[in-house]
Amino acid sequence: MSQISEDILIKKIRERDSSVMEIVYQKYALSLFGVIYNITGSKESSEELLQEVMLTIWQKIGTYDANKSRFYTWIVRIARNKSIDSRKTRAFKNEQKTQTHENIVSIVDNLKDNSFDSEYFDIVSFVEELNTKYLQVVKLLYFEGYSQAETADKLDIPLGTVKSRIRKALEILKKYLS
Amino acid sequence: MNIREYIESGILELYVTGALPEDQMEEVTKRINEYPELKEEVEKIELALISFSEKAAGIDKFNLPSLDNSLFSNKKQSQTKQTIYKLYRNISIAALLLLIPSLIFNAYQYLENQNSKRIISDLRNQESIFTDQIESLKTSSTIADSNIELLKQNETTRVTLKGTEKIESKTLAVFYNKSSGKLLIDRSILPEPPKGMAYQLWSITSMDPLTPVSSGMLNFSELNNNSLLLSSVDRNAIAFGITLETEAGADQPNLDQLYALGTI
Repeated sequence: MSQISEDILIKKIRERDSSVMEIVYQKYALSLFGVIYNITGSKESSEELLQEVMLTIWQKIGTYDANKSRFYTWIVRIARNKSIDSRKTRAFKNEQKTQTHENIVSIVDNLKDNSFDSEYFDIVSFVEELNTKYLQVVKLLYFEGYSQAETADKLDIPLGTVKSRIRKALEILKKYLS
Repeated sequence: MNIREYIESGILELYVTGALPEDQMEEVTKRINEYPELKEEVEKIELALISFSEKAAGIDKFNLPSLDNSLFSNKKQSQTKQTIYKLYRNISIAALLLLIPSLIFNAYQYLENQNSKRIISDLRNQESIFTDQIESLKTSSTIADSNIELLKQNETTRVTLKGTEKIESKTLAVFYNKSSGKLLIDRSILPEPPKGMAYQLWSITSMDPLTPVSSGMLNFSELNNNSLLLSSVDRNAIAFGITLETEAGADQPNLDQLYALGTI
C-alpha cells in the first residue's frame, strides 16, 4: 500500500477516501515538518501546523492542478504559507527580515541535531560544502517561497546566478542525501 | 531541445521549489511529460529536497505526532452525502421510469376520457331524442285513446265525404258526434298540402242557400302519424266540406279547391 503511486493517491483523495491520508502522511510528514519547523522555529507549533496542512491537503485537493506543479511542490507551498502566516501572527515578522543568517544557522543546527543516521552521513563535510551562499538560495526559494526574481532582488544577484546556485545546492544535497 | 543543457540550467530545481512564474511552471510540466530524462531528474531533485527537509526537521519520523484522522471525519459526511446523492439519483431515475409510463397511461386515459365524453354526449342526445319520441308517442297515444273513446260512443256516426277529382274521387271517412260537435276525419287520402296552403273544414248548415261555416284548419304539420284529425264543428251542420286555402284560412270556401263534400 505504501508503494501506491502518487497519481493514485491524488485520485483517492479526490474520491474522498480518507484512508490514503495516512499514506500521504507517512510519505511526506517528516519533510513537511522540516519545512514548517525551519520557518516557525517552534516544534509545538510545527506539530499543530502539520495537522492543519494535512487537513488543507484533504480539503483543497480540488484546486491542485498537475499541469502547473508537482504534488510535492503543491503541499510544500501549503506548509510554507501556513508556517509564514503563523510566524507573522506570533510576532516573528520583524525579526525574520533581518535574521536571514541566523535562520541559516538554525537550519545547520537542525541538520547537526538530527544525528539518527550520522553514521552514514558526514554532516561536517555536507555543511562545509553547502556553504552559506547556497543555503541562502535554498532557504529563500524552498522555505520562504520566494520567486526566482524575488530571490535575485533579495540577494542582489543576477537571475542566472539564482539558477546556478540552486542547481549547485541541489547537486550537493543529492550527493549527500540520496 | 538539448536535454543536458536544460537540466544543467537549474530550471528544474526552480520548478521543484515552485519558484517559477505560472506559465513557465506549465511549460516545464509539459517538457517533463515529453522527456523521461527530465522526469527522472525532477524526481531526484524532489527526493533530495525531501531528504534535506527531513534532516532539517530536527526529529526523526518516529517522534512525529500521529495523524489526527478525526480531521477527515467529513469522509463519513461525504459518504453520507454521496449515499444521499445516490439515493436521490436512484429515486429520480425510478421516478422518471415511473413517470414515462404514467404519462403514456395518462395520455391514453385522457383520450379514452374524451372518447367516453363524446359517447356520453351522443347517448344524451339520443336520450333526448328518445324522450321526445316517447313524449310524442304518449301524446299520440292520448289522442288515439281520445279518438277511440269518441268512436265508441253511440252518438258517433260514420259520414262519408265524396272526394272530388283532386283526390281521384276517393271517399273520405268522417266520424261525427252530434252531441259534442266533435268530428274525426280520416285524412289519409288527402295529399300533403303545398307550402303556404292548408285544408280548411267547413260545416254546412243550409244547402239553400248554401251556408258554409268555417270549422277550422286541418293541421297537417303535427301528429303526422295520426291519420285521424279531430275538429269541432257546428252542431247544426247538415254536411261537411274540405277546401284547400291559404294557411291563414278563408271566410268563404274556394269551391275551385273543393276536395271532398258529404252530407250527414
